[in-house]
Amino acid sequence: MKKNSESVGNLVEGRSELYIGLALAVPILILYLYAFLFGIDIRGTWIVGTLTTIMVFFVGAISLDLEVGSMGLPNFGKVGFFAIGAYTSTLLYSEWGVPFPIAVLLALLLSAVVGYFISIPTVKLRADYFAIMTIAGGEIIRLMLAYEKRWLWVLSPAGTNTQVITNKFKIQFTGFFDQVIDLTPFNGVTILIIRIIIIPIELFDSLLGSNLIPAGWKVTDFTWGNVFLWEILLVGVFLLISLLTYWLVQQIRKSPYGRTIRAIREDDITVTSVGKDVARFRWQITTVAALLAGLAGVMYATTFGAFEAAEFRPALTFQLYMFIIIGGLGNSKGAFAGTALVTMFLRAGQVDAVKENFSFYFGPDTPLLGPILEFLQLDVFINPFNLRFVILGIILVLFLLFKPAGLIREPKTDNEKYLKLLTTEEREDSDLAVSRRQSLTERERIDEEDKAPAKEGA
Amino acid sequence: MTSTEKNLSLDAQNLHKYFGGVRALEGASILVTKNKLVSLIGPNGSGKTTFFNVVTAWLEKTIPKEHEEMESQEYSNSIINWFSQRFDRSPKVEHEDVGHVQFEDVRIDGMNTHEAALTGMLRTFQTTRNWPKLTVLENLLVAPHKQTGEGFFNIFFRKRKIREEERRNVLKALEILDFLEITHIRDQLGEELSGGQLKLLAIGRLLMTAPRLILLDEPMAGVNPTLGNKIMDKILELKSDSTIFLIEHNMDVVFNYSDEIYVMARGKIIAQGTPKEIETNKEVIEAYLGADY
Ligand SMILES: Nc1ncnc2c1ncn2[C@@H]1O[C@H](COP(=O)(O)OP(=O)(O)O)[C@@H](O)[C@H]1O
Ligand SMILES: [Mg+2]
Repeated sequence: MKKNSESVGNLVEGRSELYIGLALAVPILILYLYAFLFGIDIRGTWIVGTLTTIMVFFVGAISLDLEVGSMGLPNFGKVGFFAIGAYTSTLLYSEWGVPFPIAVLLALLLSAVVGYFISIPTVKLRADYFAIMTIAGGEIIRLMLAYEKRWLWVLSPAGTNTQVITNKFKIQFTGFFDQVIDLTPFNGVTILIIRIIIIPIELFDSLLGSNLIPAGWKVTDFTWGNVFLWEILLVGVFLLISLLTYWLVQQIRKSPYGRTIRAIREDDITVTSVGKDVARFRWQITTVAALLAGLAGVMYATTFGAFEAAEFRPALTFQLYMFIIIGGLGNSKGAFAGTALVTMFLRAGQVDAVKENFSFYFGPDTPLLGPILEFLQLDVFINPFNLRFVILGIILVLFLLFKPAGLIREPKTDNEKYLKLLTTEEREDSDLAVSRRQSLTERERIDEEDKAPAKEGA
Repeated sequence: MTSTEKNLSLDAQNLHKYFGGVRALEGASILVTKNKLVSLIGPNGSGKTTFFNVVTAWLEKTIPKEHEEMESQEYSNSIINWFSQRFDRSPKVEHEDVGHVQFEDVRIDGMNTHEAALTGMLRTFQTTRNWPKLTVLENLLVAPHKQTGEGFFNIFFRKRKIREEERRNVLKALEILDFLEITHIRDQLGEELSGGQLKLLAIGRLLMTAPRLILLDEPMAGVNPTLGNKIMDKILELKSDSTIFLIEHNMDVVFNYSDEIYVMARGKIIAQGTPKEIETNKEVIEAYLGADY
């Protein structure tokens, strides 16, 4: 009987989760599709670019989620590790001529070492102060990169020192694999699919006289365009890295080690009281997470031909938080869902067609608000680009208020995993004992609760 | 070593603990004999919990001023001595009077908290603690000491050993749930439990580590009497394998079941003895516990 009501509960919960997921995903996918069809010419490259970005941020998000979601250590300096990874690998290769694989290894090593050091104060520091410390640490790194001219600036072709770092690896990589891959053969099939998708929109347009489909746009004009071989290779390599990272984090989470770090998240005092060195778990996790964030930084640098310190502002850290909070703390699938959706939204917002056609203008001519706006001398343009952070902020607040578990909740710990280790006989014995005690205690409980209500305290 | 020393579980001598001006402990000493149930009673705020905290290395003992000077004189001012003092891991030469905590033959004071727990001396807390998002079974599975699956690299390279260990621990956990008669909450989350169930779970967690000395801080407080008695029954059953050191306000229980009772007031032990001896020492008790008891 209990089993039944529980599974119904799960179903209802699962359904509301699905609805919220759809409510978020459908508008974003429509926006993205709109940008893809009506706002982009070189569509292949655009999709490849989205995939690349998603995978870079996925590695970053999953590394943050390991610290925040699984162990409860709010690291707000994540962007610093991106910077360490990006700068170390790029400077070593481009300026010092260190072979690329070694440059990357050194970058990861340095990230890990710094990650180890930031875990030291956690012995004494409360979580909120740790957050402040890390946000400051991240900024210190960025400011050093921006102003330390002797080592962290480079000679530009013009002969002056500049903080813009040219990524030689990216340039050589794109130069070496510059073969063009023609995607025209896919056009036919795609057009067929689009025709089906577009029918309801056409109907909508003709009924209401709206023009969701821009005038003059014809399905038959659709073309994928070309992509370069290097773009495909980059996506392939990034996919491999993402999968490896995912696997690594899953291994940690599913092991007894992962169980203990979750216990640390819930109450580290009890963990210490049964003889576990909480500090060891903390430094190991911050070190691994730092290494992964450094890796994301190397990947991030590879997406740029050149970059500078301004790419590593705290906003990047907050973006990662947005991914994991919307996606759902403490699980890698959530981190992926959050990263993919938010990244697609941001990418679609950048497309001109979206900016122009999903825009509202409020100015002095606007009814009702007009006089106020005239008095304030304001022209307000609202579109998915201008308002991207407002929109994401609202989504974030709504999630924190009504769905703190995120789109995909941390898998409810389930004893199945442990009971599976038993023989069928042992298992049946235990299940039987459980149900027997369940029916027994109901009678007992009536006796007990008649006597005295439980009081907590003193 | 004499035979009485061999029978000694806990030897805590002359412990001091000051919180700024508050003198929570002022030279309290207690001896706990193996396989006995020893109780510590005293009015609220008399320093019982603080005594537990110092004994289990949650708090560092205070070295009273006069002795502190004596201590530092042993190291002269040279930098070499400063280093030897910092990195010397052998037990410090201390003046006997500053107090010590010894569990069986291990010196506890000066240890890290988690190391102290690894010696086989485990405690519960006055306010029950647990891991709310872990199931009851998992709450037990986290506890065993030195699990292979808690080594970072073992996760990847010693899967077989981890599986075997987990299987053993699951069986042990089920046994403990059965012993505590809380098998029915096996699959519930920590946050779903009642106060009494949490107290039992806290004891179960300790049992997973096969402790030789169990320190219980008010295990029956805030629990309805029926469940309280049940908890006490279980504690008494543990006496065959472990030593119990108990803080409790329920005087019926303390006087019926203790082998020895210590009475604490204002950070000092003011009386000790068998329940009979303490009972006859009524003036002292009433002076410190008030007429309620
Ligand atoms: N962490 C602390 N900081 C300051 N004072 C404390 C602390 N812990 C306990 N005390 C004080 O020490 C005294 C003894 O407290 P405690 O050991 O909790 O008493 P009991 O457990 O006997 O009720 C009290 O006066 C209490 O206020
Ligand atoms: Mg107390």
